[in-house]
Amino acid sequence: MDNIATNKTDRNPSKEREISKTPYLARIIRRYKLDKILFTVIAFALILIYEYPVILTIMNAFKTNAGVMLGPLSLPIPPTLQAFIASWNSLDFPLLMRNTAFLAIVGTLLAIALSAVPAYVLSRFRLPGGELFFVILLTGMVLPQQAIIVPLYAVMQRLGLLNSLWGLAIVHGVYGMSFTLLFLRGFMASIPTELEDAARIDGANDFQVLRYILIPLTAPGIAIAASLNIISIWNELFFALIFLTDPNKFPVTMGLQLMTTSIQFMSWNLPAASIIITQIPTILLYTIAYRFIQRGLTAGGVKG
Amino acid sequence: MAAFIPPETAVKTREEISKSNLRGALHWRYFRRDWFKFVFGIFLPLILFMIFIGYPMLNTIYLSLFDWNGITKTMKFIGLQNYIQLIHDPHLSLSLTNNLLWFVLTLIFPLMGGLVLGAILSSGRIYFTKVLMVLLLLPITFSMVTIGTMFGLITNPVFGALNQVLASIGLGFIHPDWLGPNLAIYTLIAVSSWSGLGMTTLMFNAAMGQVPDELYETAKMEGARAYQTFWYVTLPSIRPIIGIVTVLVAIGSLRAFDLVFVMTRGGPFRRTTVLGYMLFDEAFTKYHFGYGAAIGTVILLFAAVLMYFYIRQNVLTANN
Amino acid sequence: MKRNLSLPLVVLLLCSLLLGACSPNAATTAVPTAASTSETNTQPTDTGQPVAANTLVPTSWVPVPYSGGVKIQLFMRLSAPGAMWPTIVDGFNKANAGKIYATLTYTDDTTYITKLPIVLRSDTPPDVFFSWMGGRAKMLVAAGYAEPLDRYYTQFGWNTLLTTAAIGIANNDGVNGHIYEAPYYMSASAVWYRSDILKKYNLSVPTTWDELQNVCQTLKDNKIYCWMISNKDGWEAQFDWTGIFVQKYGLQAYKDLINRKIPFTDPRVVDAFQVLKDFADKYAYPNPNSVALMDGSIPFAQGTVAFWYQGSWMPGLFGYTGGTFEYDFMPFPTFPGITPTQELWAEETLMVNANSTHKDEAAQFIDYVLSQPVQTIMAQNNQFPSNKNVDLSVMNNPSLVKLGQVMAATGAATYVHPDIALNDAVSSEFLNDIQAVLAGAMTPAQAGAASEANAVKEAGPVVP
Repeated sequence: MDNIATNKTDRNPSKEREISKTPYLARIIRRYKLDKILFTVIAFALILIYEYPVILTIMNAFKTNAGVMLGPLSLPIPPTLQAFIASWNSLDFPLLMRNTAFLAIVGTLLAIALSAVPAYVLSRFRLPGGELFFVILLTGMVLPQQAIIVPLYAVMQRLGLLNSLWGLAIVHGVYGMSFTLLFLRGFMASIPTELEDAARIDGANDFQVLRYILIPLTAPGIAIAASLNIISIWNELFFALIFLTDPNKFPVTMGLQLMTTSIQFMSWNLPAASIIITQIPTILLYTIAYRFIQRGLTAGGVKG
Repeated sequence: MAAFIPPETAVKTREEISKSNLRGALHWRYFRRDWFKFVFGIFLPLILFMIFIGYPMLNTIYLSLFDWNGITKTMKFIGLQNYIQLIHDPHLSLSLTNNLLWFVLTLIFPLMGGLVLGAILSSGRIYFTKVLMVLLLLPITFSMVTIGTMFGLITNPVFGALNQVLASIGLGFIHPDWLGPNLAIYTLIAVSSWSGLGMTTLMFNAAMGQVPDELYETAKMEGARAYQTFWYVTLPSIRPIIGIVTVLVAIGSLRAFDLVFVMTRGGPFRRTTVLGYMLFDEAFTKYHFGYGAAIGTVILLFAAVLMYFYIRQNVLTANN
Repeated sequence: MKRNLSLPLVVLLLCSLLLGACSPNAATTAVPTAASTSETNTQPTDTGQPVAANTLVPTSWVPVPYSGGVKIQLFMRLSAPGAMWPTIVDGFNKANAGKIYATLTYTDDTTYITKLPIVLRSDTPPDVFFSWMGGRAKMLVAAGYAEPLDRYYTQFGWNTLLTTAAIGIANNDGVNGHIYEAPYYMSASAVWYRSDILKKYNLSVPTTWDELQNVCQTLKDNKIYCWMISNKDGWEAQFDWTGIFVQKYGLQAYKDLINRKIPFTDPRVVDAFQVLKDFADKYAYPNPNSVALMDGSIPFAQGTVAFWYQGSWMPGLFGYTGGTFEYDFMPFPTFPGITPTQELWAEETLMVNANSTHKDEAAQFIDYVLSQPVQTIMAQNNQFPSNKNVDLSVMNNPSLVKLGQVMAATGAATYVHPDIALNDAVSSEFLNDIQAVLAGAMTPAQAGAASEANAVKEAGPVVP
């Protein structure tokens, strides 16, 4: 957004006087936008420093263990896939990823399914107690997981959902409902109601209105909520740690945890390689859905 | 709960009058007509919420009145003793201090940093702002385990990159102990800020993008310099957003656990313990589940306060 | 859009290569290195890096299929060679095909203590599970999760099968004269040292504490750190503390401390803190509370530190550093006037769940684990067996064979360090206090007071 940049088409007399007074060099800089280029270069250098931990991890993943010992900053030359192969052989990454994908997808679908109707209700109708209802459902966002883990465990045990991916997905769905509800409500509130009113006049009931009109219109919002939910479930550790005991059901965060804490196991290039393997899907999702993610985060803060 | 009331109370036709059914208490007729909204919009989410969130919350408070080691089948009722013990527990003040420190520093760095960066990115002085934003936001795709492991490798006193970098620019004699008792909490907060900077920048950038151009034009007319524009125009315009992000930061600092768990496990002799970690340690390592529940109740209290502020900020924003 | 976004990733990759080329190739640590590290950019090859395939259950493992019989569930801690367990479980299932079938579930080292009560309280609790000896075992017994194994000891003859130490430990952890655990993996502690460094400076192996001080001083004058503590996880330094305490004040004093007959404020306890602190300040590798166990192996391999007092699993750790170096072990240095004691304990034991419906089958699994062929496999994986009929020469490491002989010579059970001897509620405070003392944040007297206050709260007052 060019708020402060100079605009050559402005015929501002005071500005012109200013320009004629400024030294030759300053004019050159401004004409060729050299200051902008300089700032861009500086900005990219700073971003590079900011991302350097990631770069370092990537580099270290391509070294041998002894290579990491020698120097973390050195280039991996020649790069070796030893760490990746060893990681792949020790943890069943396809299984871990399958489990995590299951959790992420089912959890997200559940969160969206649960939030869609309340979002519709809260955005369209003035409900006495509606705000209270909204507030109650928001607690899922604020609540630290450790605070309620013990009773939650008892609940899961009573329902027979322990050590089950379905159970964990349900928990994720319910906890994801809070943010999704917040977001979808805001999103739906901004959709004009004419189409709905028209449909109602034609005699559509609630479910039909929702299904044929509102959901398609909200599709971008749902995509946004889905992206954020998937990333958040993919990266979640605590619930998986407590509720799952069968190693065949572990998600990737548990696998990474295994790898970095087993004392006999620790090396330095393997954690780096494992990190890359486990985070590739989220990074891919991020690049593909960046636009959605961006809108989702800003809307959650901006609109409310 | 009366029947669902559409916002427009001005009805158009006689048919619609009978359809809207504004007055009256809950009647089975309303339920039958609006059953879908009732069931799927209210009851189902509410029931699931009660089971998975509400009941655990209440049960935590209930559990805090007992003494239980998590293994035996019976619990011993001890009333408020857990709380009395908690008040006298030196680790509580440590945890609270750390949480407070976390909050304050996260306010200063990611929040203010986000403001500054957001302003820079929206100022038009840089090319490729989109690319920069993408790169800046990248850390949200990483789990805390990942980030903790990454930075654990970097701050390692034996072969960590950070100390090597310092050595290479001539500051090798400092050789700070990043995860030692004095620096550990700051290191953790710095890592957490690193991961949060992208999000705050994004939010502020978007908010700044919505500030109307006229304000900037006026400022330029009056000859305001860049930082003056920032201070007097940009900041006041996005004040509600700053409010929301502040509360989000506070919520985040209350929930801090994953990073502590992965990087320091409560730090050298509990120097980096936070409320969430203290709960985990008491309940799951020392098997004091009642005491842990008392800590959980304290956390819930703080969370309730923060929720109040969050709602208030949201309402303020909506009314803006 | 997509074009715009793949650009940053390409930028990232390119910049990483560029920056890597520009980054300094400084020495590994800012600490003076005795051995020179090569500063070339070529990757050193790891010699026989055992790594992953040896520690976690391998991906490719397909368990022997179920062919009828009683199903029992195992819950194990995956620390030392996890790849051993598939072999053991498969062997058991094949030997008992159609009669008993064991399924293996596990979790890692760090989360085991958290997971165990959860798993025991779940709807599908394990029939056989790993337990530490000592305080944690006693807690499980008190909670009613451990089945008395007396009848199995008689039935399977474990009393004659296991070493004296193993049986002694199992008996000590018993309650009311019953035995609840079956040790299958024994450990001892030893001071591992770089024999080539000692040779280089013409130093003889120290046997007393004073001799150690002299040796350390010589090394320090030559810019080598004497002693590695590596206390990041909190439990490593207790080895040094316990070694000092037992060697200086005797085994009985330590037993009194563990059994709450003397308080932590006892002057001997406080003195042990002081001795450790003074020694660490002078001769230990810097920042012990920040160096993790694995990290400590780097300076040890590079020869910047000479001595390291830890358990018998250390040679396995040394393998990860790549390259080989000369090392040996010695017992913890002695103090005048006190008979020295070698620390010897059961690293891992198996317990039967008291709520199991298949206790006899569970006991059969334990018997299988204690049998000579399986214990030999363990020995081949550098785990000291509890079965006394195993030929230790199958251990690939001469140091370990020698250590095994030391363990056999020790005979009966001696002692184990506090976090296993006590339960976590008491020991976690104690370990934190050691960290605090090492960091200078607490005086030894304060540490003793804090540990005692906590112990009174958790375990009741001292009963002399």
